[in-house]
Amino acid sequence: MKTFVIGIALACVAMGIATNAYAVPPNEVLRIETNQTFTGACCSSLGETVTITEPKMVVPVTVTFSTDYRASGNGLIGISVNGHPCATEQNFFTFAPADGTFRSLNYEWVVAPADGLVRGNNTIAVCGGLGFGGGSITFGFNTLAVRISK
Amino acid sequence: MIPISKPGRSEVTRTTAAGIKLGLLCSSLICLVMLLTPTASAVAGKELLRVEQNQAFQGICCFSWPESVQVTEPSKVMPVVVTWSTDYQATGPFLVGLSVNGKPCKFFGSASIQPFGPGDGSGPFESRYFQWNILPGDGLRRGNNTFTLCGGATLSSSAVILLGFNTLSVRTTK
Repeated sequence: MKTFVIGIALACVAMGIATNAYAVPPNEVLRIETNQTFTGACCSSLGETVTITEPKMVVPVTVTFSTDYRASGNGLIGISVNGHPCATEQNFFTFAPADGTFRSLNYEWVVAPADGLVRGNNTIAVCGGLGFGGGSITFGFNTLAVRISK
Repeated sequence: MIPISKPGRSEVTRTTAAGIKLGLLCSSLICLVMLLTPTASAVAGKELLRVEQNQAFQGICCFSWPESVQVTEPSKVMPVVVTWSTDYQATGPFLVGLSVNGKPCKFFGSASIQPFGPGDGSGPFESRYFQWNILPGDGLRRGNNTFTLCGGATLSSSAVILLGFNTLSVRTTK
């Protein structure tokens, strides 16, 4: 009985300490509140990065990128995992109305261990660029987040 | 005078031990309840909202839209991620953001909603998804935190936005 009671008490102490670790660590989220314009052809880094720590047994992560944008051409946006080439690109399309308004876009990528995730620290960067027609894309306010799967 | 007998050393030890045991037992029972609680509510109900009726709003940005979620922050306040996914029709461009703990409406990421449809519910709806990362410096505090949708039209006060079915959620946990 005594051992059981002490065991439960210890579990509770561990749980109390672990509570803070469950919250979203700051390096897993990024928020940009300035407009940024890119003109190059796909694909290069677009200057936004998040990091996440993988456990011993590497598990998939989900990356979400939510942004306002204006673009004078079509292009692609993807992610680079730990410096690997830009991959899993998705399209964006020309959007440049005269009233100056932006459009919102949301992308979600599921990154598997085979995509280059490693035990410990992992860096995920947004990459992309314009298509053959050229032009530019301007990101408005945007957020990037990475989340590990349970 | 009735002589008072002092308790023996072994009796005191026995009493103290019993007290500790009782204390540990009570603490354990409380902890057991705590251990079981997260299983029952991995995501607290107040962290999620689903609206299943159309709602129309009209006016220049920014005013409160009656959709809120809440989250409890630990003693060391950490970032949270709020997501909003909605169907809509809009007769003009709109912006949508959040009010954190009653503070003025602010944009914590993408905010733009482009015109789509007649705004009266007839015909198709467009869908939009927003993710907003809220940092401790944005007004988060230990304990209960409330996030309320807000927004409005950007160009015309007569523009109408009709929200269809939508969900709002906030998460702090992995």
